[in-house]
Amino acid sequence: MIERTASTAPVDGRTLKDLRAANEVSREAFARLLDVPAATLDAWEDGASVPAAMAAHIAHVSLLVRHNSLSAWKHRVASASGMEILIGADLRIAAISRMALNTPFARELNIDIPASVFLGAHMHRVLPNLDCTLVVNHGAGLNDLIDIGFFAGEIRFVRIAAEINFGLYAYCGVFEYWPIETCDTGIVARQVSVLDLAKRTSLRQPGILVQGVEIARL
Amino acid sequence: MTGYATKENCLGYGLSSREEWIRRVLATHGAEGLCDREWRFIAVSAALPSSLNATAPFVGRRFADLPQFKHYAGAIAAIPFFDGSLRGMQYHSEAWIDGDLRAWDMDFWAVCTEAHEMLVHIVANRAPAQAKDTFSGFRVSDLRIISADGRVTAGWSDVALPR
Repeated sequence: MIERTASTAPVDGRTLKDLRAANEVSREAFARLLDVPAATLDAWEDGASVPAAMAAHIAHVSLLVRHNSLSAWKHRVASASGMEILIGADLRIAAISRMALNTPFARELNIDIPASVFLGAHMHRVLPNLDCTLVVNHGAGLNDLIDIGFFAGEIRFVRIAAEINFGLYAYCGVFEYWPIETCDTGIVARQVSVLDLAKRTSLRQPGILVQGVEIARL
Repeated sequence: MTGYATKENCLGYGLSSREEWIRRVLATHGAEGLCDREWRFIAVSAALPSSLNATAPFVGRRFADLPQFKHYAGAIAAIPFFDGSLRGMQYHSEAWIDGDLRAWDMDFWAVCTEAHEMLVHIVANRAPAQAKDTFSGFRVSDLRIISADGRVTAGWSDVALPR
């Protein structure tokens, strides 16, 4: 268990405000985590005294925000060594790792793609010519993540074994989608790519060749 | 209601229990591990040992019991990973194995469970090798320590560890 020695230290509203701002947690979400009305949080942040009895609870919420907020997960995925992408419930890219930006194939092509190209972009725009059916012979590409209840908390993970051909380059591997329940903005998807660089590609034009789909429900 | 401790549909990540985290690591095709606050492996994915070319079982062993790190148990234990102040730690490592130079980028991420237990999620990624010459032992470089407030401390020293 975590050290609790610091959890009884007095907390002032300014500290709460700074914590919330630094982790980009909304006022409503932060009040919900603290289990107080939003107006109470407003008063604390404006200078009203924070009850000493709240100190331990605030310490726990602070830990949660620093490690499980959407902001924390954005930072984690963006700085991951592997190929990782964080996808919001609207299927837009919230974070992308450097390795995902610069795959081994792109590096060979001497392409250095800025993250800003992808951040906020819809996955369908990023993969414009790729008609990926999440469920073989049925589905509407990554929209299926929504349709199967991924963002509703009904899925443990989705794994797609596929070959992806972007035209200039292609790769084979396993693409795993893991649900992350952030403490402030609900469920998002962490896509982790486990590439098999030794595997030969077979597609001759842009597209996704889905070789298998595994959907693990709760 | 505490806002986070009453979740009934704990998912694969974030607000999950220790058990959910173990299931998560065991299910992935990636090379991943999970350590408790004693730096003892409590779960290892199938791909991790083969990725690191390890033959001995990981689960139940401490990170510092790995041959490369056995002399650094004190230093590893001193890393403030379990008081919530660190978000992650990364380094690049290389070793000559059977005449081949193997390289990995290692990620260590702090995980907070719903019971407020701090664990370490380890992810090993095969990476391009940087060494230009042969060496003995095991080399660690490009250490980055990421604080929970987002600050990054980085060092590029090249440290050779005994095998």
